[in-house]
Amino acid sequence: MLLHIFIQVALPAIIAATIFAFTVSWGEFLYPMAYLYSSNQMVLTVGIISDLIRGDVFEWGRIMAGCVLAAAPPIVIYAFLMDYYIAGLTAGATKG
Amino acid sequence: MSINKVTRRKALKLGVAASVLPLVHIRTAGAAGQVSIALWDHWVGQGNDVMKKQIAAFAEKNKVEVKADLIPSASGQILMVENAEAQAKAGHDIYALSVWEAHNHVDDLEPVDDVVGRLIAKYGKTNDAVEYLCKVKGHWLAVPSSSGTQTKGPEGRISILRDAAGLDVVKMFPGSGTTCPGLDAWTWDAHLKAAEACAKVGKNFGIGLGTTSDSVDFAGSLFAAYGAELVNAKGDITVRSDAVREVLEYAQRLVKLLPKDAVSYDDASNNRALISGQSALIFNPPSPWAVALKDAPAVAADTWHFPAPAGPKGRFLPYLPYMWGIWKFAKNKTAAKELLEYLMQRENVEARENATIGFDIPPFVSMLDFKIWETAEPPKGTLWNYPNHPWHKQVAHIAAMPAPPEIAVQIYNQGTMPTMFAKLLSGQSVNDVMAWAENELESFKRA
Amino acid sequence: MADRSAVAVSLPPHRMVRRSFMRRLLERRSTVALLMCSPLFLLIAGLVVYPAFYALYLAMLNRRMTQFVGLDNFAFLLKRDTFRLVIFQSCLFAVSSVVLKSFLGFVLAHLMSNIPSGRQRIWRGLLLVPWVIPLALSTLGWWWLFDPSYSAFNYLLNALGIASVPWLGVAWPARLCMITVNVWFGTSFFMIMYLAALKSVPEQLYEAAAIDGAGTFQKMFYVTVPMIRNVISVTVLYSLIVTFANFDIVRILTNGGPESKTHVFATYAFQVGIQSGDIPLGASVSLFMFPLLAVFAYFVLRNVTRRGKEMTV
Repeated sequence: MLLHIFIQVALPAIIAATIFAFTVSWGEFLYPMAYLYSSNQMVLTVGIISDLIRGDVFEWGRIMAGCVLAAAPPIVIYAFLMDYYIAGLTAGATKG
Repeated sequence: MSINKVTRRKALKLGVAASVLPLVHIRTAGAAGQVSIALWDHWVGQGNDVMKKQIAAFAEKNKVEVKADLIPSASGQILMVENAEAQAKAGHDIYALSVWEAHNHVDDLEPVDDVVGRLIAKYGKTNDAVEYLCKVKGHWLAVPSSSGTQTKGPEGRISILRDAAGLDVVKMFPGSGTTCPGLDAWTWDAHLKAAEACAKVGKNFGIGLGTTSDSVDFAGSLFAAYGAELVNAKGDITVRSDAVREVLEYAQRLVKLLPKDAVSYDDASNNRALISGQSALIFNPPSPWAVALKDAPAVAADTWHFPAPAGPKGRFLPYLPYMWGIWKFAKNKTAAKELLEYLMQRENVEARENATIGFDIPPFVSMLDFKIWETAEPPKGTLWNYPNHPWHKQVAHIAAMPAPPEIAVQIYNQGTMPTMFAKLLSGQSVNDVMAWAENELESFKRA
Repeated sequence: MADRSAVAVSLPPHRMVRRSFMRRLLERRSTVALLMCSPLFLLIAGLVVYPAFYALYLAMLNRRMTQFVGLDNFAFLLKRDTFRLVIFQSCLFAVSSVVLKSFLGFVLAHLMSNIPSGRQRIWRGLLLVPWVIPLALSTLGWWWLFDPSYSAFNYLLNALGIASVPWLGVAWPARLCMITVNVWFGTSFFMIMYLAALKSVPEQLYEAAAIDGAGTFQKMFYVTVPMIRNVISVTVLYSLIVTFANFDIVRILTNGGPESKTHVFATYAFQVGIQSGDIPLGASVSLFMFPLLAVFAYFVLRNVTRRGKEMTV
């Protein structure tokens, strides 16, 4: 019952919520900055800022390359799941 | 948002528990214990590499496992992690503290009188600013470090200062020897004249009016030279004094000569201004020179470091120290103390000094004779006057000193002094600015 | 169900009473639902309620965290000019960003819904790019465009013979820059939400309106807006919360300067709490967001529930 009815019906909403939560945590900056400090466990956002800005030297090329890499996973996910996402949002909306 | 996130004790413990794979993780056969240290991520030269080697040698010799993390000060990370650890009472054993942090964590730090006592017995006195910042109620709460410790005297372009302002800084402050013929003439008035002359040829002095440390340290040096104190040693607000008025009147003339974007300067803006050749002089440690060696060799070869200008009350050199504190909750205080004492031995300090091309300033006066400041080039002797030599007759100074540290830290970190200058630039009168500062300082007296 | 009750009957009387009580409890759907939600409640208690109260507790300590001072920190803050300016800036930043984002998102969603679905996917994806790049990194890029010494915008202005603008050096331009970056970042989120909502509006309503002689704008104001009003409210509220709590943009662009005229709650809390070592005061600063958001939430959500009632009646 759970698998066939509930999840089936709720799937678009589940996907929408998951994608949304993913995007938000993917771009998180403050949390990882406080809790992760070794270069080899850095997440992309903090790592790019702390490893590619050395004092007054900004390695712009690499920073921008990092931006593109950091943006890639969410973009790929949205490209494939965008219709679910919109369907998920719509599912809630129709009920008013 | 930021605060309750940071102070989440549990989350931090998780975060620390998850921190596998540290940067340096030395386990020797028969390791007797473990000690962890958080270091300032030294971005100048090869400072990190030498530090890692020294720590590895210590681990090998003492049969302890040392875990060292390099934490950048960029975007305030070193402060964030520090506060999170202090709140969670868990984390590294040793933490690299900047300027005011020993005073901010009086109750969280283990006294290190024994270590500092032995170091002083061996190497002699530290400077006064270090003592003011590391010693609380008669106890050393942190070991003054050389790693990251810097002074921020003037760093200027030889040719521009000579051609536009008629200051031959190389002759005034020779790159060797123990005399500076130009010292007496190098006053804040001379500084203003030079700033004016250089601004005329479009090479403004790259002095910031932001709230980051470079701007604050510069303003602190100027205030001190006129004997101007916003808050005196007893904690009374002393904004309405002739000395402060004198400083503000001086600043009123100076701010007009600064770059248009001075109020939005951060600690990197002045460096870039010098490296790009737009600026004739900045107040900074020699990091831009070190960067220019690679990126703009012509600028580097034309850069000279020299003492701060003097005012009626003396010559004050902006000083920004780092220190190593041991948390009260540290698991291995004995090994931590041994490690710190080892790292501050003269030969180790000197090896790191060479690797950072003379950037680090040792806290002990006796260590100011390292060869690197004599030999660094081009131009030869450019760093000779970077450390505070006795014949410079200047006092190492931290902005807002001698106010009680818990007030001084706020004057410093909220950038009260440069903000006063910025207000002058935006057209406010000296009286308005004094009234604003008085009001602002009143709030810093909160117990 | 039937054979389970048969088992119960065969049990000794006193146990039977308890069993049946338990069972009655379990048979109540609400109890089961509550039990099944308990992991979630625990999670919320641990990660939301506990930290919130811990922050509240911190906010009531003195600077050294040795003494309980009640609401003194809040009273102290309200008396400070600097902090009043922070409240003003936070509201200005959040409200004007959200209004602009909402407006632009609405326009974009309409434009988008007129594009046939094949090409729409591409445009949609492209417009989402600002929203999926981690904000800290894209703001760094913006900062470079506004940078004091090497502003790319100034380069363009200079090429056109116009004098440089100190983007981040003067209070109002700096505030506008912050809002611009936030709008750039957040508009696509609004667009997606509104686009989804637009799809849910039944086509018949538009047909009926057209028959009644409604023009484009009349359709928009009498059909579209009322139909998607709930989505608008919820999205605006969500965005308000996030924008109010924003840290990255201000921290990277201006760090509160010039003259502390661009601080918002999060950055000011950081400066007071982390940098100046006064964690209780920093906690008080960030808690100030709460009453303000409560006021906004009240006005926004009031409309939602009112509409809900209309629907059920």
